[in-house]
Amino acid sequence: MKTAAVVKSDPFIYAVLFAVWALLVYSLNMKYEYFGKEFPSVAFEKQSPQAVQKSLTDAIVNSRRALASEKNREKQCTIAAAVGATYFQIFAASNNALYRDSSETFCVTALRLDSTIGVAHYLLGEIALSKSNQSAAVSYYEKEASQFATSSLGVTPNGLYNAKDPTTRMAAMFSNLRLAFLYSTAFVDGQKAQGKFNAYLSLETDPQRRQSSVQQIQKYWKTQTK
Amino acid sequence: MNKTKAASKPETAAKKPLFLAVSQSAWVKFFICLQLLLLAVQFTPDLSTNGDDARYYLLGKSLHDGQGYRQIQHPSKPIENIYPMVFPIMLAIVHFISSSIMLAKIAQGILGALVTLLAFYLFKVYSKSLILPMIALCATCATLSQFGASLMSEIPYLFFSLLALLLYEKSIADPKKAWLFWLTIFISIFPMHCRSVGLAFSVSWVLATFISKKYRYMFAHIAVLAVSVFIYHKLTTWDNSYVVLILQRNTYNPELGLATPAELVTRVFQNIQEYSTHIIQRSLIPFEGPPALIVLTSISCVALIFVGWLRSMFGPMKVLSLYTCVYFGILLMWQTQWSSERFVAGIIPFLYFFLLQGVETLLTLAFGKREKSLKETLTALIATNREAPLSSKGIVWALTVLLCLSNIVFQINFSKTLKSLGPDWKNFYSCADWMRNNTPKSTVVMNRKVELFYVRSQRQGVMYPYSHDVNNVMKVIDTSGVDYVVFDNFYWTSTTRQYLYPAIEAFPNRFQMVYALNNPPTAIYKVVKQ
Repeated sequence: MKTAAVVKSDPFIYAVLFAVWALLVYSLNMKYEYFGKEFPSVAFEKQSPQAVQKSLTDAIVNSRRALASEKNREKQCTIAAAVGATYFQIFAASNNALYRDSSETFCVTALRLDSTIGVAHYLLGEIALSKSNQSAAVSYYEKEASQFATSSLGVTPNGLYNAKDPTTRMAAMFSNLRLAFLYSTAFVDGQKAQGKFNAYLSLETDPQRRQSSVQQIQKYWKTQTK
Repeated sequence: MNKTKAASKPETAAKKPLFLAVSQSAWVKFFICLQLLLLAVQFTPDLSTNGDDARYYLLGKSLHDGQGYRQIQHPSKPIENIYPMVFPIMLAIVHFISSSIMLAKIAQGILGALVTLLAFYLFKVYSKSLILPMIALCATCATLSQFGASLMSEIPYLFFSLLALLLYEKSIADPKKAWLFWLTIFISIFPMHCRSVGLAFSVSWVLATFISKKYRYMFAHIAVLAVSVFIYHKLTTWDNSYVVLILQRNTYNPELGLATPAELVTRVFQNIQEYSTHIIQRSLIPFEGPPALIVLTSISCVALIFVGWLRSMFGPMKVLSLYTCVYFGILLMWQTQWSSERFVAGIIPFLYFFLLQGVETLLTLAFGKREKSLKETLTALIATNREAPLSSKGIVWALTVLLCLSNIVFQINFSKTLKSLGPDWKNFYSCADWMRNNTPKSTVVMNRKVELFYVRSQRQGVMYPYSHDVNNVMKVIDTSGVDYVVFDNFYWTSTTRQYLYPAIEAFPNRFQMVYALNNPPTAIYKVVKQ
């Protein structure tokens, strides 16, 4: 009789067990939002500066470790440039000059290892501009822009972006934009400004940013014409 | 009342505590709790990167939304012809409560635990001594947990096949109940409509009922199955795509054409080698170790399963043996790149049972009571379904504990990798996020994983054709009204590089890059309309 009672109570016990399990799993995962967890770049833009700083600091610690243990010169160069870029992002978020200096150190290190490394010239241009050294900035931006062939899609026979990856492309694009503004303001040269802006447009992929840049540069050019 | 008491006496005696004074029922509850715990450890609230689960989820959503059995992720919303209907219908029912993926996955987890419970009630009919070790193995099985934690049709398939077999045994024991008979027949067609490999279930059902002269079960099954297939055909214009998939040399390169009979034979042998030396081990006893040990374990498993299978074949469990045999027959025809644990998952409880029965048979032969000759011993063993001597039970349990530990450790390690996406997937999803944030809802995107991309981006999509002809790819882009293409960099497939990339390269003026990510290089190109 006792066994029969146990067997009869089984469905109820299992129903309760499954319900408890379902509630437990739900409560453990309820804060998860499927569309709330966006992936790399999209999520990056929406993070708060503190969160950005924390994740970047972690990235730097890891990269420095990787740099210390890396023997390959080419990889060392890539890592140094990446650390330089990350330090610059922290500087942009925090406005702390110490991060800018660190960024400069790593960018120079990267260029010493490989003078053609992408991004480093652009970052040094940004650093120079933040120090109000516009002539040095122009020099760096020019080097960055001239390294990149604007006619290419970023395709190489070995695959997409092996040599001209999106980051390099973006660096060249922003360098051209900076130059267009600098040649429109600090070092006025209409022809150069027009040429650099056209080069920027050929690389621009974001329609909203393109629209905004066109409006801004036209504002400068209209002021100069007046 | 007295009669009831008298009838319950032998049952009570049979259900006396096995060891440690704990009843069989309590042990089953313990194993179910353990299984639920392992499922909770592996649980992730979103879809896996498999792609099939997203497809099932969307088919369920389509049914729930009243759009019919259609591929809502495709711009023309065609009727689904390949994926069977049972699992999407179950998901559609869950959709009535909530469209949350998490809820569907919780329901799937519970179904996984119910599979263990059903296995207990079914195999209790066949063997008393092996039932608890078998349930312990089912509850801790890493492969079953993997599918219990994802929206795949393996677990529902197993659920319905076990339920049909259990009902069959109940119906045979109580043939006067007409409702039980028709319920059995109704459920017996579910495996076929849950997974295409369920054809094995129906074939073995017909064979087993024919051999055991249960003709009404055979004819009723054939009739109900024929009606259901006819209705399904009318509803979905079911085509022969599945047969073509089996006959193709390589589905990911259809230009290679269909396999010749000689190639099909070679494929069968390649699959036998793959299943017997690796996949069976990974499915039943997953562990990392030296290749030689893995091969040895896998072959030993297959040998023991074969012994157990033979004993069942000539004993009272013909239907199980026939089913496993026909099931593997279909698996061996499958293209070799698809051979994996996934296809074994549908019969894992049967394989564990045969494995344990194989061990028990060998132990009984070695240490049990002997007849005058080996032939008589074997006959007695099969005819009476004689149990192993008590001392041998310890060995069976020791082996069970070892296998359970292997599965538990593997699951805990696997759960860590399950919860983190690889960089290729992160970039792919980032592209989906970009599409959702920057494009209108009517946008059509060509990409490698249309279903997953649709769930995340809410943008319909098409797959590029597996064709080396760039004009053919461009034709699909133009005729399908594709607005964007996603150049992914999945490490597990090179189809985008093989088929989509040459078209981008050949027509640079037709593609304008709008979003790009590095590590690994991934990009969205806007299609310039002509």
